[in-house]
Amino acid sequence: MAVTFPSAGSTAFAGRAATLPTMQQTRLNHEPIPAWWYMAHPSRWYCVGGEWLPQLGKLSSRPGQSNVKPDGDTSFAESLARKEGWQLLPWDVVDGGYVQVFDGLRGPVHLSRWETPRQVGTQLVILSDEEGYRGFLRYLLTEGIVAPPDQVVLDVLIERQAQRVNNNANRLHEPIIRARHDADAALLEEMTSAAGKLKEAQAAPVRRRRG
Amino acid sequence: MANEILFADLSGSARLAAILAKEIELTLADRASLHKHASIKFMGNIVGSGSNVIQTPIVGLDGYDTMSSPADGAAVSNTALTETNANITVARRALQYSISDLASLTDSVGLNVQRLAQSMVGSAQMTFQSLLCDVTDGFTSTVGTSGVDMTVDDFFSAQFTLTLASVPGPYICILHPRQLADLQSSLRAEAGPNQYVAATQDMLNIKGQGFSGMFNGVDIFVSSKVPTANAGADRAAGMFGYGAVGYAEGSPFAITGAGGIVAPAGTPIVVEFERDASSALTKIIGNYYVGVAKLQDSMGVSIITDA
Repeated sequence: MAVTFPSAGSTAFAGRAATLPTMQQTRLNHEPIPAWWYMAHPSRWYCVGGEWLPQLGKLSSRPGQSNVKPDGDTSFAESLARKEGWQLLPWDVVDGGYVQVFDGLRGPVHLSRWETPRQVGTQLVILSDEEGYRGFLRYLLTEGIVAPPDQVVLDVLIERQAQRVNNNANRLHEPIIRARHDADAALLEEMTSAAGKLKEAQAAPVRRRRG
Repeated sequence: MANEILFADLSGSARLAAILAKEIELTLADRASLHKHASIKFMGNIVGSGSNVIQTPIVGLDGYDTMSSPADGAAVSNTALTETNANITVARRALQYSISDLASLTDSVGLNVQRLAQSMVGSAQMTFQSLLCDVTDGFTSTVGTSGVDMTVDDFFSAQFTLTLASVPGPYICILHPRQLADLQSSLRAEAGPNQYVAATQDMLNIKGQGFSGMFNGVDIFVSSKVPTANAGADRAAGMFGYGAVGYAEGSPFAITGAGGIVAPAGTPIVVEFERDASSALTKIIGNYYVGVAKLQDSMGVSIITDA
């Protein structure tokens, strides 16, 4: 049993930084998200703002998911992902890393650095910095970390978009369909133009300095 | 007049500020799970198997190879058998509650040790659903436009992608509630043969919770567990044929030395009780051994649209 009175010779007390009681600590009311890594795949691309960007997937370290081992070891899951053509992107592929972790009510919540949680009333809203994220995707391409898309893949995606445009072409008298058709047609034009620019850039002869 | 007996005078002594209702209300949450749905292939139970990984051979038989046309009397050469495999690694998922004797013995609403044990089934099923949705967002084929609401055209694109890949039907689609709302909004402009068949009571009875309807022959389920994509800007749902995704489980029913065990009927979950007498606490621990993984990537497509 601890004593409840100070010893006779002691007059000084040492304090320590107080921490809030558990119930008063600010923690995200979000279910836990274990650590994860971005993955790029040669057939996953999307066109936005007139440029082709990789449509990244995620490798989670959640045990039991896609062959992650019980202790969270992702080595087996990684090898299977690579076999499927995925390219794993380590956290330090960009300065400061791309994953941030928050204290959640039920465990750590791993989000990308372009996601910002905000409490609005009783609801948790996660805001997305889409432009910042696209900057990261551009960086992956310009630094050569992710290889540019193959024209065959872009042709398939463009053809799929063209099919969408054509499917609605005979219903332009309906205002809702017309709006959808126009948006799809504009995206098709962007996709085609961006693919053309990419093709030109890839076909351009590499200038060699005369020796 | 004087000495009236008013509520305010009794409050705190003969009247209470509040009394508990006779039953508890559940906190709002998504409780729909596709556990045991026919579209998600059960690959077996690892009990006594010698490994926590189940490997499924995927072999090109029954029409994968077609016959050659050798000349009359000519010998044919061997055809190499096309084979690969898919793996499912089973891991432990667990949840623990701890309730004091005082909290338990004063219970008047049904929030007690038994109720907490019963709740483990739902927790395990939603754990499964979370794993499932985090797998179906990772097909290498994708449709949809980032930052743009889901439309019926995205739905058709997904279905056409599966059709072009010769994926046998029936197909199943798991959407986030946001995507379903956008799809339904888009469907308002559709007419003719493209009709959304809303979930009727009979359909719900057969297909279970989470079933929201059928469109163009594809069963649509809704789940809030569908994850985000593109740094939270979008949701990544999926459409796939039966057998694109599989799962395996483990059921450790014979547990040596366990004090009290509940094995809810029809589930692989084991709920144990652990007594901490000196603290007068009863722990309720649920264990669920499960793994979910893609079996054949080309049998599915991820639908990535605005969140």
